[in-house]
Amino acid sequence: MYGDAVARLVGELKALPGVGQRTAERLAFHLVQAPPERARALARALQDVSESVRPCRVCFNVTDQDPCRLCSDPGRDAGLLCVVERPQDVLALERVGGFRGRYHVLLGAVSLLDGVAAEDLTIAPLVARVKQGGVREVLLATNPTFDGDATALHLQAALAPLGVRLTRLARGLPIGGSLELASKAILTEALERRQAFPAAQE
Amino acid sequence: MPAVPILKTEALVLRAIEFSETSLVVWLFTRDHGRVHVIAKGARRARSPFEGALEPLVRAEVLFYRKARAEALETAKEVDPIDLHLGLRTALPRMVRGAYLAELLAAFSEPEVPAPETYDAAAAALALLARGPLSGLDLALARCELAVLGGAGLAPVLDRCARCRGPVFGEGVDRAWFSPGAGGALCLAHGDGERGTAAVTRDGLRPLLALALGREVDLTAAPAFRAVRGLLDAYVAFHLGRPLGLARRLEPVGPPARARGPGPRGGARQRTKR
Ligand SMILES: [Zn+2]
Ligand SMILES: [Zn+2]
Repeated sequence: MYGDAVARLVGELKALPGVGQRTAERLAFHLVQAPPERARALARALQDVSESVRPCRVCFNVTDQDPCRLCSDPGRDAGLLCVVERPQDVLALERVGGFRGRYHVLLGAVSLLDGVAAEDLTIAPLVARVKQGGVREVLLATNPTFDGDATALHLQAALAPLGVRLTRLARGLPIGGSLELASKAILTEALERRQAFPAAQE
Repeated sequence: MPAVPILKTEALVLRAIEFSETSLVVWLFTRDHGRVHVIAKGARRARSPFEGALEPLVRAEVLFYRKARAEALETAKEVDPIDLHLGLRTALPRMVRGAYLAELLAAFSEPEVPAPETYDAAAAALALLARGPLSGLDLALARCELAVLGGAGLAPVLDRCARCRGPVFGEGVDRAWFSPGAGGALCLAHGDGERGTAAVTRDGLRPLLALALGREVDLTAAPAFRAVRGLLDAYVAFHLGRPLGLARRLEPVGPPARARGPGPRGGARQRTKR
């Protein structure tokens, strides 16, 4: 129907998440018809990403400089570590902007049912980081899922003996939501984890 | 065109697998229809109608559309949690045993084969795993495991020789055999040649026999724990043709006064990527 080169491009685009045949063809023909500079810029960006982006040797976030900007920023509190499952989670928390500590990316979650073990994640380097000293608090910010909670329990087992303070992200009712519309899961958690009012200030 | 039948049953969520960008395939162990695989459309969206209800080991009332063709998936309509079993997530021993139970139920349940007694035993065991005392976790799990095996027609024979129906241990004899293939214990004379058969002592068989007879057994003591787990693990592995992945993660909950360990238990033995 169209040339080999275009077919190859359509094939590559289709392999991306959320892209089906129709979308892949639309994107491919958009690039074919756009000024050549457009396609070259995209190609360069893809090449740069594949060549220069790697995990930070300290926190395992994706970065093009090692250690990453977050790890090298002297303005961030090195005594407070936020542990997340994936680089996307760092992005989500950084978008909020309120967190001024540093991160540690596990590159996954323990999955008891899928056979992903604690050893498959970057927990050993995290333990080494905490053992080096200077860390007061580790915030366990894995997802509030079965796997995320299993991961938090494995982190607790690994970190509690080091005497560091462990915290977990709060969970409960969404701001602006209503009790009537909240799911049973959220309401159950909100009831079980009810807190003193007014909330204790640290 | 005939209306698509809607079925309603209680179920335990065994696992959820990403199916597409927005949907999950969920394995349910239902009370009335055995194991059912449903597709939950929209479950991976930010505001999912199933929010939190499709997590492993949630007990829920489930409505699903009966599939049109045998090879198709059922479609979940509503999943209304009865018990989220959030207590499982408060301690690793609870969570590991809960996950082991999910693995066991997935392995020994069959589509379209109702197993209400197995279901009730599993639901009761999960409540204990989530909220009961830590010292009772292994008792709850082993009891439920025997119920699951019994429901699958595989209850091990332990109180007599599975072959000759005579006593397992002769007068003054302390040795016998445990043979998953023969269906349980074998007397000294009948243990030969059966694949997977291992020697068992009177003390080694006693705790599992007591459990099967419905008696209380203290499984916090390491010898009783190992005796029961060793026989059950061998039995399950034989009948499945493989050990369950989480069997190796089951360790005695142990006396609480034990010295602080070096971290996640088991070290390299936990590496079980499939
Ligand atoms: Zn870094
Ligand atoms: Zn015999």
